[in-house]
Amino acid sequence: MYPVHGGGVITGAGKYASPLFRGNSIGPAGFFWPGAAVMFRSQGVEIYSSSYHRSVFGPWVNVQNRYLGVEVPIDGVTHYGWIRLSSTIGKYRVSAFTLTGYAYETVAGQPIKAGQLTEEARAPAESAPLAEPSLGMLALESQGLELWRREEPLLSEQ
Amino acid sequence: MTRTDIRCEFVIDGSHALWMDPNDDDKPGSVTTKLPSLLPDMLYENRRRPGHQSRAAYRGSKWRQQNLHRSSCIAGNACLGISRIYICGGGKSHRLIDARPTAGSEFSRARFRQTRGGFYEPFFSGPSLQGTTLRVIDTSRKRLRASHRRGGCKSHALAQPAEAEIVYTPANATIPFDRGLTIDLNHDGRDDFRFFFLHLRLSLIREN
Repeated sequence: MYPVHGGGVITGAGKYASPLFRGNSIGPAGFFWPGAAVMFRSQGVEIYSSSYHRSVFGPWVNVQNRYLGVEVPIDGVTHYGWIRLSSTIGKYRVSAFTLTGYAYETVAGQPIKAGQLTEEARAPAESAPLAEPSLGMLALESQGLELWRREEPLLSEQ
Repeated sequence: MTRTDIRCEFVIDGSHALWMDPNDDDKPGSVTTKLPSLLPDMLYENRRRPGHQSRAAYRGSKWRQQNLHRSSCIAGNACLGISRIYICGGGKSHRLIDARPTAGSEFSRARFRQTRGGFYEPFFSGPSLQGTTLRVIDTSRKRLRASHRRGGCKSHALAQPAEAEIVYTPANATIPFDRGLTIDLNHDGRDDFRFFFLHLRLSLIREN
């Protein structure tokens, strides 16, 4: 995933794009990687034409309604937004990677919450705020561990 | 005597973008000769100025296996407009092939900002493909828009950024493995983000 005109994507360890939960804040405090962010890795090794080992791994393997936190420059100022994605990825190959929506805040510099649909609604009615620990979290290493251990919902509903 | 070579292929959006032979730079199939001709068929429309020197400068020879991971990441960026592709070389830490966008093009900012994280090397100003314009062929965006129309997604068309609000665009688009997908987050007619698939394939080849 790559920002074409500048901007960036919230990333964690290893330049993996962080799969945010609904309600995570996306704003100036985040670390936005300006280059290509890896969502998962697909690689294979062929050994002497006799065997081929293929693997797919990364934080976006088999996730439902997770969010990319993004920043995008509009008229020279930074706006924040999110992109919602779901993936079905097997052990060896990608089955489906689906974009289900995206949004941005029209006020420059104002944070937005992942999954937020309106200014008033701070708690969109989609996806659970907490998820079971996943391989994606493990791929995020320490950051994923923090998400896993988090006890409170990431978003206070109004 | 048996010798083992390593061949590396990058499959981007379902097509072979680059392949690299670590031991022979000059034979057909090496990245030296294939890169300029492949890119137009892949993600870019490659337009050169008339009479401009267009041959890529590549002097790399040997690969080091432990650096393949680093190279794969950079090559992925390169095929999305970053001007340099770094190839791990024998004598020096990196060799390169450059496909340099025109100064001030849409990729300029991104390529300079690559150095912020300390992951990539500083920008290269070599002359080999100077003047080359690299543009993303935006076929997938049309598909996405068509998908919006079919799905009755109208909310974003009503949204105006004059007041503080969130412009939400519902979608239901599967990212195609053979083309990737671009999205225009703020609907200003410019692509903001691009999804692409990069598959790295390493082959160990035994030669007698």
